[in-house]
Amino acid sequence: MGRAGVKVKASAWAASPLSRLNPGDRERAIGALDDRLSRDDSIRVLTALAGSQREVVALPRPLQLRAQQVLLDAFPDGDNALIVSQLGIASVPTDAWLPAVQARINAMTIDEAIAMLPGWHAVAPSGTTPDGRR
Amino acid sequence: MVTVMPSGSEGAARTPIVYLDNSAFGRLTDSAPRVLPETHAVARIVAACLAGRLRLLLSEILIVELAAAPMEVRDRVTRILDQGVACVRLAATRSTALRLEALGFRTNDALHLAAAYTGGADFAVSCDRQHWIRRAPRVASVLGTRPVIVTPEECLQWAGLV
Repeated sequence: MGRAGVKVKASAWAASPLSRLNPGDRERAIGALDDRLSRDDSIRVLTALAGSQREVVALPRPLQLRAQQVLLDAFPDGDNALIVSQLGIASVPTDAWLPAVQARINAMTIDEAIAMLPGWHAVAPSGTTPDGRR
Repeated sequence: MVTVMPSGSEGAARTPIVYLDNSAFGRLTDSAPRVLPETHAVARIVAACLAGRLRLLLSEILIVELAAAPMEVRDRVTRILDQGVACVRLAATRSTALRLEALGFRTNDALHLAAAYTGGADFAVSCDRQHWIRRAPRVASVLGTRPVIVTPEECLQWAGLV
């Protein structure tokens, strides 16, 4: 299997988050968290990541976000998003944002959407152009 | 120009083009136990895109929806969108979207599916079983055999990535 720890076991939810990564990525992730977080924080995060998804979710949100950023910085773009996804850190349920967005769009006709939606790019992801490229 | 496709997109050996809606992309930031298998399947699809085994098609409607997502979602997904091979403009999807709307598809679903069709996607991947997967035969009756509407797990099987 290639980078980004995407080899998946059928019982993945029962595995520790760290075990979802391939050994090279796991080593790099642990090293980055150990280097970039304080000793206490790195112990807390690594203990949870070596435990279960439930333990990761139970970490304080600010700590999850710091750990996520460390991991995003530690791997190349694209791969880093997959690493963080596999570890399930700072997870955001899709149901928490997507239905509301879709409801706003679905209140429009096709022509209204085509006319109005490009204006929503005012709050597009940082660094993207109107066609979605950096 | 409304849609940019890579050269050499036809032919027996061409790399399949995959379009993911935000119910699928969103799985990358959603680790709830009930969706974890989908999360892993989407991760494998994206990894295949990063490795060049699939080509990732984007659309303006995809970007618009993501613009309203929490920053943690945008930060992660934007890094993946950089790997996209093309982005379909909203205006380019109009005629197809209107046909789908006439069939009863919601505006956002019609725009996504029209983008996948207009961009030449082989697979339109969604985790929305109610509005996408269940209606796949209906879409095929309008758009033909491409894109195939699939769940993330089905996409892996169809693309030979299992």
